[in-house]
Amino acid sequence: MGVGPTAATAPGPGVGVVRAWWRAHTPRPPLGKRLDALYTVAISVAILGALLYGTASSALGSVVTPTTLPDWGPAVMLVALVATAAWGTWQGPVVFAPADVGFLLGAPLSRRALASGRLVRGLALAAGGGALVGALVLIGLGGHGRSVTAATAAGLIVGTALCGVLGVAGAAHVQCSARWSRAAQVALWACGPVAAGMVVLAHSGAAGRAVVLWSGPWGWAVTPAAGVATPRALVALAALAALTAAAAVTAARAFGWCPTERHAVRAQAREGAVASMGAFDARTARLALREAGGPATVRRGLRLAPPRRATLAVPWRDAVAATRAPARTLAAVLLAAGGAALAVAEAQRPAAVAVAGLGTYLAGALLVEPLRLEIDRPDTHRLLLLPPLGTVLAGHAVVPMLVATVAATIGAAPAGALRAHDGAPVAAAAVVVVPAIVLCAALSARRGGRVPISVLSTASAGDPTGGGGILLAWLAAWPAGAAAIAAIAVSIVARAASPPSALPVVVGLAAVAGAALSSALRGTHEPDD
Amino acid sequence: MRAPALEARGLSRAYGRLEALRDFSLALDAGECVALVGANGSGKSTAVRLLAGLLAPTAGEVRVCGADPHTEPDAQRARAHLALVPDQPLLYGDLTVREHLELVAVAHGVQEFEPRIDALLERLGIANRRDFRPAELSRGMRQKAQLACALVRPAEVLVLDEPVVGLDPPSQELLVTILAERKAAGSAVLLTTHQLGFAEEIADRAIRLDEGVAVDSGSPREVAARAAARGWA
Repeated sequence: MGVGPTAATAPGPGVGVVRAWWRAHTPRPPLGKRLDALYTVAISVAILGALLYGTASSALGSVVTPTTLPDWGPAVMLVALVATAAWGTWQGPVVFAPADVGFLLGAPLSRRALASGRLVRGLALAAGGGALVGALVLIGLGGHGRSVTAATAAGLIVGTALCGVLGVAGAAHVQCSARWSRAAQVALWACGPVAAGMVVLAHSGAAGRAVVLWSGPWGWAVTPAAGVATPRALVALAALAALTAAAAVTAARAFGWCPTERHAVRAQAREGAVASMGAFDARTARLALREAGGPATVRRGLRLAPPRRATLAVPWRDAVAATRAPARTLAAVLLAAGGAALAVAEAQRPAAVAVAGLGTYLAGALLVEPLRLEIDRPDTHRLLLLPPLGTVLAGHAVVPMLVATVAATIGAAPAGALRAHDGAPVAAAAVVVVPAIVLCAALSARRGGRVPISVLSTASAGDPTGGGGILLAWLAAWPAGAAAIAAIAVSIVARAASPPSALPVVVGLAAVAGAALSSALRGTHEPDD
Repeated sequence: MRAPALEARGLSRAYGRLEALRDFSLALDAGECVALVGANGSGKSTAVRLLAGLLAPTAGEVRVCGADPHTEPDAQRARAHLALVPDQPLLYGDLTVREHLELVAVAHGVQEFEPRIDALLERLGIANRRDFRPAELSRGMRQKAQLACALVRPAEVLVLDEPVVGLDPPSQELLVTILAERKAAGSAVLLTTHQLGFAEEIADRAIRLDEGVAVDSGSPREVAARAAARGWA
């Protein structure tokens, strides 16, 4: 038999035929093996849940209350919705394997049918994730001895589950369309200020709170737990359900015309990210996923005259980098300002201040990108710069500390002005810890993206939790340190009998912490030392 | 007059600031073979991916047997007509060589494909590797497996991106023979290569790309001579 092009073909093979062939040739793991994985997850959740429930309940209970939920819930839900939808820029709910792009997407099969299974799984996981978030919120609402009715609990879980589905359906649209991708990027930027405005409006009174709750699906989802009468909450949930159903149906249609290129770049990005995560290299995984979002826009930025003094070379290089990536710098400024404002506004709640500290930490983590590049290519500084690596890294922390401190001052000042008597010292405390928090981010970045072999071997050998505990501790050490610094400093001032007199203590502690962290950064050795 | 099997008009593609392909046009008739030649980065692979519907053009349009490979559901018809051999073999890690061919046959609705697959594997010299997975194969063997996947299904248009990379000389000769058979059977063949000698062996026409622009076209021998005169061979 030859290999000519004349073999008989059936008219339009269906996806079902291919699925049947696939099932026959790549059998799923036996039921016992699948149940084994399910059992492991269930038992881990049960044990950790029992251990952590009390702490989580107490911590959540001080943050999520019947009062704070109507004020903050819609804003947080808006940010979560937009962030979930924007996930479609890099991945999305329907990602094929690279070989699928050639074999399945290259065949005359219906794209919509090929995508349907993955989309349904993605939407189901989103519903589960949303319900889990709703359950966590309920733990907070029921904390400190408060009671939650069954109707409220059911309504909130349904609302957050629907919101999860809506977010993933949005991600599907973003995944399939360049226009939606651009819109998602704009929305990602806009949602921060809009969410802040919603919080302010909700704080302004009952009318403002009603406007926020009924302003869209982000508010509809939390109406059952926001003191809204049950019939009206049911109307909100019905509207949310209708919108979610429409979004899911149109998402399924969108995959019918999603360009192959968009599937191909996501497939390659996921493969690269999975390979990097297999080597516990989160940074390379993140860079691989970022590739799927398209080429990074490099702007010319401001022309900054090079400094005359050699010691200013690294800060000058970082200032140039900050102007070349204005979106990153602006995000960091917003995070630092928002973190400081939150720390001052919620100074009496250590958990909220810790969250604010994490916001400032994230700002620092964004700003120390040039430091990460130094770690990515350790040979670069040997060729281009004279000082030892530790000095170079410490130099890379200068601009981030300055930018974050200025941004935090801008955020803390108005929040401090709104406080009755201790506004100034609390705001000052929230600002003086910023350099130390940024240094935490720099020290975390210094470690590079890959978990060291020493940590992995310790995790696998000596950890009774099976390695997860040590890995988690390694990953969370610096963010936790930053959150603790913020919470301790602000709490000392906010809870002092005389806040102004407590401020010098905090300033001293922040200076000591900053000096210690800076010294640790300066002490960085060459990788091959 | 019959429409070309593969047609491109004013095709362009930019990656950010880089214009990888600019105003590229092509008409490839049934039974004809055209070679896209050029140095690394000249735009050959971009052109192939645009023509195969893997990349969306910045401007211009493509027709595969009259169907637009970039717009569903028309693209479904285009995919039924066009078979692509990519420059890098992309195979499933958990399927054997034979299973890859079976999957393609099933996905393209090929009837009674078993003997066809056996004959193809035998002819390409990979019958003894039919139950091997990609990780157990050399680069050349994987390339042959990918080629077999394109040949096991009917296709009016066969597109091959750098098909000789990784193939030994006897396999290259076999490839020339197989492509000549496909041409004789009425398939249109488009291939890319930077080996002008290979293009001369099989192609009726050659188009030389430089910096994303078609700078020369004609018989492979003429294009090769003009390219050599300009210092590229």
